[in-house]
Amino acid sequence: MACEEDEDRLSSLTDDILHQILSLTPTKDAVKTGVLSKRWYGLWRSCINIYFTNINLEDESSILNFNLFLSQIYYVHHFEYILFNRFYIDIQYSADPNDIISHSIPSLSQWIKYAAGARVKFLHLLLNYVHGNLHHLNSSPHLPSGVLRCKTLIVLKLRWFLVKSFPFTDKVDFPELKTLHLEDINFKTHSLFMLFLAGCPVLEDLKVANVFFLEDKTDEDDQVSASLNLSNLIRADITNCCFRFPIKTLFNLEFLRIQLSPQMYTPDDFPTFHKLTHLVINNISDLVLQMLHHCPKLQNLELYQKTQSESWDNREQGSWVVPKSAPKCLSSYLRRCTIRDFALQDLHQDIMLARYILNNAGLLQTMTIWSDKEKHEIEIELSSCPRASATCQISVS
Amino acid sequence: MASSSSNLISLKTSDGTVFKVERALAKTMKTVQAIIEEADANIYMIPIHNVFSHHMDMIIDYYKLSVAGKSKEFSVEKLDNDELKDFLLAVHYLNMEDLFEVLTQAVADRLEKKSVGYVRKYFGIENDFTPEEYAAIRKKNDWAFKGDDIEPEEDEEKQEE
Repeated sequence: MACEEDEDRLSSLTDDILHQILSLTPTKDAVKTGVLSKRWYGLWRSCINIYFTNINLEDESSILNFNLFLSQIYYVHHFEYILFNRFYIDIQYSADPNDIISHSIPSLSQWIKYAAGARVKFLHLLLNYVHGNLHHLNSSPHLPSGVLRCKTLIVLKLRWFLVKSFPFTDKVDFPELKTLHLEDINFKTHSLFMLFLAGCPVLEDLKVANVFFLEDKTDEDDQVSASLNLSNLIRADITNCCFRFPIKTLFNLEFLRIQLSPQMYTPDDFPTFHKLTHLVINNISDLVLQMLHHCPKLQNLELYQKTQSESWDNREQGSWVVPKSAPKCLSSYLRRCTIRDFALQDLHQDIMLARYILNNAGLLQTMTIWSDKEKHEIEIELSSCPRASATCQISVS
Repeated sequence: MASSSSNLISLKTSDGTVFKVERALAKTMKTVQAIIEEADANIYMIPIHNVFSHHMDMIIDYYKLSVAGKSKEFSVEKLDNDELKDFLLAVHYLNMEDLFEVLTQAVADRLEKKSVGYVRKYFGIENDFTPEEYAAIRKKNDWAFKGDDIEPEEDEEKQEE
């Protein structure tokens, strides 16, 4: 009857499929599957990851409960020699910072040391603090020293930590790290940050958001900056940072998202991005065009204006100056252009920029405009503009 | 002459329907790709066992969305649990990495926070523990069960034993 067929189909869910499903399941649920049957008893052990997301710790008692939970898994792991590759922690705190630092962080630190010994490959330590001022420097927890001991890491993501020094060692050493995401990280000095990057020789993907420093830059910091080598880096995403990133080190990128401020950067800071095909940059007309001169092979350009911190919004109000020569990428490579927050500050400037691109981009396939205002006017201005590419489609949303 | 044989590959599903798909889509199916590579010259029709036409429809939907950069819009919500499992098996057979991960994540999401009884029914797992064994394991990892609501299915099971 139908029953037999059904059973055959269901039992053909092989171990590898079940492994995959379990490894995507939060830890607590995966552990529970051990009671299902003898086959399942052993299944979760060989593929369990430490995966805690959507954890909200609001007060001391919830922190202590979570710690208890962690310590119980620790014993399971420790006594059953479970290997794990991934250690994902994503916690949102609204507890008192003192409770976080005295109760929660030590418990996490112990786990990270254990993870280092277990040769963890993927580590996400994402903490978040709600109802607080993230820039209140004293409340960021110190980065657990165990993180620097995880030499086998391929992916490291950190959020909301303070790095004052590198304990036990003067340098950072992640010989296999390919992806590094740093968000809301406070480094004591510029050098510490540069040394962190320098310790990742094969880094391919870098994201830096809201990284800031306790102390001002020194000459020594500049020296460390100058010797930084990020030649393996393919993707970089640098936003919301009030310091000058050594952009020259990013010359090998294929994708770059960066927030530039004219006060911080000049065209001399840009290398030639020989391989860059996709650029996402905040729209400050002069800098944008200067940047395009340095991206000879750019195919996809995205411009935006709205940023997380309000202090970036001041563009120089000025009249549009026609550039002397069109950037090479415009005539030979650019296929897609997207302009967001169009007319947010200056309708005229933005229209001049869009028209300039349309006039010069011979291979342009699409020009997409996102705007909260004056859509009709924008449409009229742009559709009447002469285009270098006959097949270009313009859309205004 | 041979190379002008189109960029379309013919795939025949278990229920006899023939789908002509782009070579690029066929490439995402490692099983199919292996067959193509092993065949000498043109291969007219590749039979794909365990894959039905309604599976192929969804696979093509997913492919179109991912080419447009919208793979996140792909949803299997409308599938019931058995249909999802079936689809997962088909995609597993075809060895399609990305879609496999999407579907296993969908299954994992559906099982999240569900009771043991639910999961048991879902996978059709027979409990081969003795009542004593079951109780011992349950107790050992008691902390993992804490915080869940009382699970009627599980209580029923215990009573059966």
